[in-house]
Amino acid sequence: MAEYKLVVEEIEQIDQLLSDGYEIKSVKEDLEGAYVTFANPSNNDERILHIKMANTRKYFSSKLLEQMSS
Amino acid sequence: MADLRINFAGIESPNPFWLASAPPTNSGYQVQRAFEAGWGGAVWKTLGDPILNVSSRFAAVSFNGQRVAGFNNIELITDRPLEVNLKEIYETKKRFPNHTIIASLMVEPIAEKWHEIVKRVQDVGVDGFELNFGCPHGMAERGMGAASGQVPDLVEKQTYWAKEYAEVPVIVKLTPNITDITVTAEAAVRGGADAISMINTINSLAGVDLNSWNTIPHVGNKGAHGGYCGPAVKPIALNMVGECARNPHINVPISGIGGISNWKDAAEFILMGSTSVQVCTAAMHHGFSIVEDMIDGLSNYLDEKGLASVMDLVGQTVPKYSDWGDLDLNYKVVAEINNDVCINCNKCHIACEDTSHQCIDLYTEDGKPMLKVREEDCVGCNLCSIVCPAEGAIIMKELPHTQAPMTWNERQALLTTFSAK
Repeated sequence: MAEYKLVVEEIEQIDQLLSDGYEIKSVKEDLEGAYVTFANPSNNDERILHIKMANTRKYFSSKLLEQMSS
Repeated sequence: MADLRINFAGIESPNPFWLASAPPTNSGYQVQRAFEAGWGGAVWKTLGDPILNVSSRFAAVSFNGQRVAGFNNIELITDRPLEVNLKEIYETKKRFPNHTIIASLMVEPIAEKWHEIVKRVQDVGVDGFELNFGCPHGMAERGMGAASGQVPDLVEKQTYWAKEYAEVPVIVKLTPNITDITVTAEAAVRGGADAISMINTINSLAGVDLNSWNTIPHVGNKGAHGGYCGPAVKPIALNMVGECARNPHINVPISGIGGISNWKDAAEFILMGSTSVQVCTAAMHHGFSIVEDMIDGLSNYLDEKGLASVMDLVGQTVPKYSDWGDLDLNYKVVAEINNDVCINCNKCHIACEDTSHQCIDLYTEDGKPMLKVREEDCVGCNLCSIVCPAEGAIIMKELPHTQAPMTWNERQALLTTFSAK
């Protein structure tokens, strides 16, 4: 099954965007999981990740907490 | 040796072990035998207008060889005249002045009825009253017991009426046959209850005879629902005690009831907020002498924990009992299999593969069958360790936090705050 591989893939996508200077701009959750919009303040570029895995939804929540705390 | 004496809403008792209001406390003969055996208190079988019983009355559910895993009864309150019971209560109290005798009461929800019975019973010197708002069968059909215990206003009013004449503490015994027991517990407190007790029995049918198609039990080929108790109901009772104990509006002592069979069960109820515990089914199954092990076991446990008094144990787990939304989403445990202890029954693998998260792999090492948990896919559900028959073969180990603790409630508040920015 290795659902964990899907989690790792999604976390890597999030980490990549964060390391590229993106920040979480908005979160929309529905029956399909979460749509997280990342925005890069330096170039106004936006990316949307469709997060399907539960553990990744925990992960971006923790990252959002870090973002709001900083 | 730890002090087992308790103070329950002002009632002093030599230990927290009381017999619940039920067949074991039907007469002075029985209660005196119980006190001789070591029980600290007894809640006398419910007094009220003497009833008529049917035959047969009890049934039990055995499970995988354990007799009386659950117990079902359709017996009603006392069938003896009040005067007979009062005489025996008086004689028992006179012989055992330091033991606790609580009189369980049930009358129609009419003020005068409560006033009358409280006054008459009080005169013989009981230590307290327990208002039976929980009996689910028979009496409920007549508007008493659970029927009135399911209506918060009636719980409040009847408690108030009893308190108007009671000079000793009033305990309100609650029915579990309700969605949220804290609602009726709060009503009891509003009515002036000095304490609450729970749980009374749960609506039940013990079984159906596959040959005769009769219910179990049946009375001349006809059945009616009864009240369920015994070890099977303990988790339900423990939760209800915990829910009341942590409710800030229910600030009265609790007497825990429901499947308590040994000192460990008793200690769990005490940790969840019970000051006294009441026992019925275990005594009916094994006799009054079980209290000896209960006293020794609890005493030794308190000594091991370095506690001088059982009162120091009361409610210690309550602050740890919360709502699901306040649990840490980032806390993680995973299963770990000790192949030296494992007997290779593969129950863990089957359970995980068929009904959980498919994270236990079978493999062979030096020709020997082995099992291994893929930690990254394990969600920490505990199922493998629950089904494992080999003690110590599977442990659930805590993993260090990789993210800061965060509850669901905190997460949702965070997202709401973030969206509003």
